[in-house]
Amino acid sequence: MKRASVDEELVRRAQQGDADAFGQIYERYVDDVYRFFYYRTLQTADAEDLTEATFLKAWQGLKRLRVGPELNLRAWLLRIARNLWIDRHRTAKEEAPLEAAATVAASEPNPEAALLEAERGDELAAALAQLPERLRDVIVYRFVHGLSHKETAALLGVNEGHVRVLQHRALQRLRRWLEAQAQED
Amino acid sequence: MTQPPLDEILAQCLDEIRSGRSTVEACLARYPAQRAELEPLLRTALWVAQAEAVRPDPAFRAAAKTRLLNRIRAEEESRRAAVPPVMPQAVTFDLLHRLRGWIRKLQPQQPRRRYAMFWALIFAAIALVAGGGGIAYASTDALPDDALYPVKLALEDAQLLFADPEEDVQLHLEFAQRRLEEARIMAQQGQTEGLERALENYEAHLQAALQLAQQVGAQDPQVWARMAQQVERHQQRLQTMAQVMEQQGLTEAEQRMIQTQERVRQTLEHVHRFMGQHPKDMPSTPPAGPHGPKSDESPMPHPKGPMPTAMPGGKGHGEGRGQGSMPEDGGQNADQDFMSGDATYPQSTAAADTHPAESPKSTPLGTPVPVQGTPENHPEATATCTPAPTQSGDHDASATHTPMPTPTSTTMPAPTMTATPSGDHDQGDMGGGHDR
Repeated sequence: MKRASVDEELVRRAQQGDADAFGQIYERYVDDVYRFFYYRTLQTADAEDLTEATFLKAWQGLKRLRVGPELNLRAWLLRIARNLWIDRHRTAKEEAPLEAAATVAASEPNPEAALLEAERGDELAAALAQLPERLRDVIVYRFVHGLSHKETAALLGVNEGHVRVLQHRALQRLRRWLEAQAQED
Repeated sequence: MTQPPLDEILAQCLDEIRSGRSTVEACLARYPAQRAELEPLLRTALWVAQAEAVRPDPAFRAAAKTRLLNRIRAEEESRRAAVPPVMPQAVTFDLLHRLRGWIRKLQPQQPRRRYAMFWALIFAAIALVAGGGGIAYASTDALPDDALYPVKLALEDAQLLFADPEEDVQLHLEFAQRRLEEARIMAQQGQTEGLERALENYEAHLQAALQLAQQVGAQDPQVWARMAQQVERHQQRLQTMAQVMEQQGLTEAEQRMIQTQERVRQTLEHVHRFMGQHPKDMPSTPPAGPHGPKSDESPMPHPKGPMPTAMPGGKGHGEGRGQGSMPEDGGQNADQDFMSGDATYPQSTAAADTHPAESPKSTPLGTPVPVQGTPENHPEATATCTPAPTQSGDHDASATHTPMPTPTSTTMPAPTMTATPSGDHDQGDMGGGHDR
């Protein structure tokens, strides 16, 4: 059975209140959602909390999800995750400007986080940590989640041409960083 | 022949490699002039794509699933208990049965009532006859921001129209209970406008029940006891909901629920007072909180719009202002109150200061109209639903990581997604306007 068909069936059952079906949806996509947050927060605890919150929000909005051949459950969940991430920044900004500075910093190039991740042996996380959020988003969507240019464009709210430009720029920066790391080693 | 820009060549090569239609070498051979720039970028992309991505800790994965499913099951249970499903056949049969009685009772000297009934029947007819019961059934789960919500309200109105006053009290309270459940869902989804609509309708049902109870309480004092019992349940429910909203950081929703709680508290006070009174001592018009009707001539609220109570029985359907019962400047004042309301929650102010029947936001027959002054996409809609992550710092990130592979392979993993996201209609609820 194709992935999309399985998703359709699971969503239909979950929309009828079948918690087990939603549990299966969780199993299928929890890794994707977790990675989305992990490569942004670079914090396991934050990534876990936000992952859980994403699925809760998904459950609350599930009844409004249209089921059909066009269903793309992963993209839908990643969209929820992205909005949650944006909201988190905005809420932090509104409620505690000083704390927000630290929180939002995670979206900007973060050499300290990169160093920490490199020490942990997670080279990808370390490499992503030094990218600005926009470029990091493109790399994560395209090469970690395997989304197409079109899907990435939809999630970022830009056109495909813009995604191609961002992708090019992001890969250039990553390449430079990897080369610098290799030279240091 | 001019070559496309490098970002397009890169994108094309990546697509072809990922789909297995080409390899790195084949792409480089096709673009020899760009080879020096292109190759490191392709290799980098492959390195990222083949890096074994992090996975959540299995213990978290299992624990989070358990927590999630427990919560979902509890919510489902609570939802089922709060809103008993209405079967379409039962609704249809009940309405037809009542319709016969209504036609017999309808008097020609009640044009206003007849007019209101006519429109309610139109709605009911569309839902029950043209939709073969399907629309009616589908509408039973409709929420304030759903297209079928007006059908749901129309069906409820139809039930009110055909019921006796004693039954009407009970129905108003039952529908009020439904509004509470809708308010809870709307709040959790960050749908501020939907929350406002549900609570406004809730308050109107509550007040209508109080007013009707005064009419029938003389014959059946037990009406007060039953009403007190149910309104107390509403009060507890609202309190719990407000607490949950507070815990989830949904401040606006919490404040709105506290506002409604105050209305419920006032209503309950009156109910308790009436319970101990002889019917002849009761005032002819129920108090409606600080902003409710203040005299016998005040219009009774209709849950959905400007329906003055010119008709007996308090069923509240009319074609507009009724027989001088509404102040001429009612709408203007309401509008002014609304416009000068709290900038952070304009709807709340409108709901508190504006009698539903006077509200400029509603139209006859309850046609949903966007709340004036409310942003189309409430920017905080999803923000308020975001639980703040804890910063425990106890987690060991390294435990969930695996070593990275070296970027040597020339093929990319096949895409796991084939379908593309549809338009924003599906994601709009979650989007909250961020992605547009």
